Amino acid sequence: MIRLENVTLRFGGVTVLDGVTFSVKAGETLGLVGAGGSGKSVVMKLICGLIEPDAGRIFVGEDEVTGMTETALMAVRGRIGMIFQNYALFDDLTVGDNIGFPLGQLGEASPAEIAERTARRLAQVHLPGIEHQYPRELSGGMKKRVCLARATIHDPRIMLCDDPTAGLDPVTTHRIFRLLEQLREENSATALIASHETVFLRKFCDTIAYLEEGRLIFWGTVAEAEESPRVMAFMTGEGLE
Amino acid sequence: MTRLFARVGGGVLWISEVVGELTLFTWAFFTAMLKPRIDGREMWRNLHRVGVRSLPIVMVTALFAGGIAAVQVSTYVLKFRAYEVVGWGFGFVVFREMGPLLVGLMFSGRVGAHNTAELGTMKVTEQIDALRILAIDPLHYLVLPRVISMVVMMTLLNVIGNVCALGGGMLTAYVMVGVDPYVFWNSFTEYVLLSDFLNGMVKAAAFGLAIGLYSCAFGMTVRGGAAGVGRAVNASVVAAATGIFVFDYIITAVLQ
Repeated sequence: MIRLENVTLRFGGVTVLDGVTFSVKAGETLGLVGAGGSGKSVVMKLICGLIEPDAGRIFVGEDEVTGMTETALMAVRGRIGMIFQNYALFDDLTVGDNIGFPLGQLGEASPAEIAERTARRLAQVHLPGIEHQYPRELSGGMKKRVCLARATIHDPRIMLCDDPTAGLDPVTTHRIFRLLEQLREENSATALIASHETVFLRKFCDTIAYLEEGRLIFWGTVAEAEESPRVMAFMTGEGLE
Repeated sequence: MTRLFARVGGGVLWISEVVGELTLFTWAFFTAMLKPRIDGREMWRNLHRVGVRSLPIVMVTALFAGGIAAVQVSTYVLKFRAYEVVGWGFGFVVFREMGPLLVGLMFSGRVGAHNTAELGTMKVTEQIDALRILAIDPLHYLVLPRVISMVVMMTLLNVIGNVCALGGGMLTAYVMVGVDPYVFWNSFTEYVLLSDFLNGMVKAAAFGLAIGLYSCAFGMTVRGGAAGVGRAVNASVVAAATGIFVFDYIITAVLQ
């Protein structure tokens, strides 16, 4: 469903990704781990074509996104839902407008249908009736859930989650991961989650990819990751001293 | 010596980069204008924000600028007893130069700077990336309504600014020099031509386009977080002000 083949990216003189190769099967969830600056967010942006790699190929389904025009990428992005690390909610739109925005812009539904689907999605993320509030009036956890609702309102087949629980308390973190899993199952979607919440990743993911300074050190099932001393040293934070 | 060359070279590279980015952005804008997909609600929001909210400051500035101009010419009007040409002189200057220039500079400082800051903040908080992920082209959704609003509203505000400046001038000319408003108005309507008015309108539209394009281009290409937004706002205001004077010179020379 998602495949990266020998992807390399440099910013200026710095190598951000160095020959990264991995894939995520349809319906699978991959947890992307690594220290800050190891290239996790960049991988997300490469997959949806926001950045072009210097070398290598990236496939989303049957489509190769590398070298695609912006117009062609629009069709691919229509199948993707992304949760951003910094929320990326539109400040001057209400929560309801933020969530219904993709449907309205793509002309896929009538205003009444958009309102109904928005209300249903908000109830699903345990935030019923806040359609008329603005993002600035919400807490971090609430914003993340609104973000999740917006990213999944068009029932995407692929979910990209860039640090979906950054800065949240353990209870909210657990709630977000459960919601992610619930919404992913609902659409039989393929998910890629970049996070430092390794306990939750081991619980909710099928496979793990571990990046270190732009290089893929490990890619395998959760069980295999648990047997890798290097991955476990990072995941548990032990043995690194 | 090497350091001097490095500085000059760095400056040339920076200017080339900015000019290149502005040119590509302008090209992308006009290409998008061939097949525009404009969100109606975003368009109205921008027309209101850009135009209606700028109205008070443009009116007050134009009124006082008209008054100041009248104070400046009062000495010569008295000296040469040129009461009959005050209305014409005033209308000519306001319609052709003072109106569009003044409104353009006010507009650039208020609307252009705000626009760059807003788009720049959207860029650094990944809101523009979010739009692209939602399969929405930021050029059509964000840039087109903003630039069109600025051209339309700059033109309309120029008309209102002209009226206010003339009002301020007429009032001050009466109070300071004793020019009868009737004489002022007669001189204005008799000698000021439609071409004088249209000349100013062409300038206002061109200034609106320059402010719109520059403020959007600098906002959409922000790099480097909050500090980058600050630098972009600064560069956008400087570029827009320079653009206004360059356009003014070209239009004046061409339409003369």
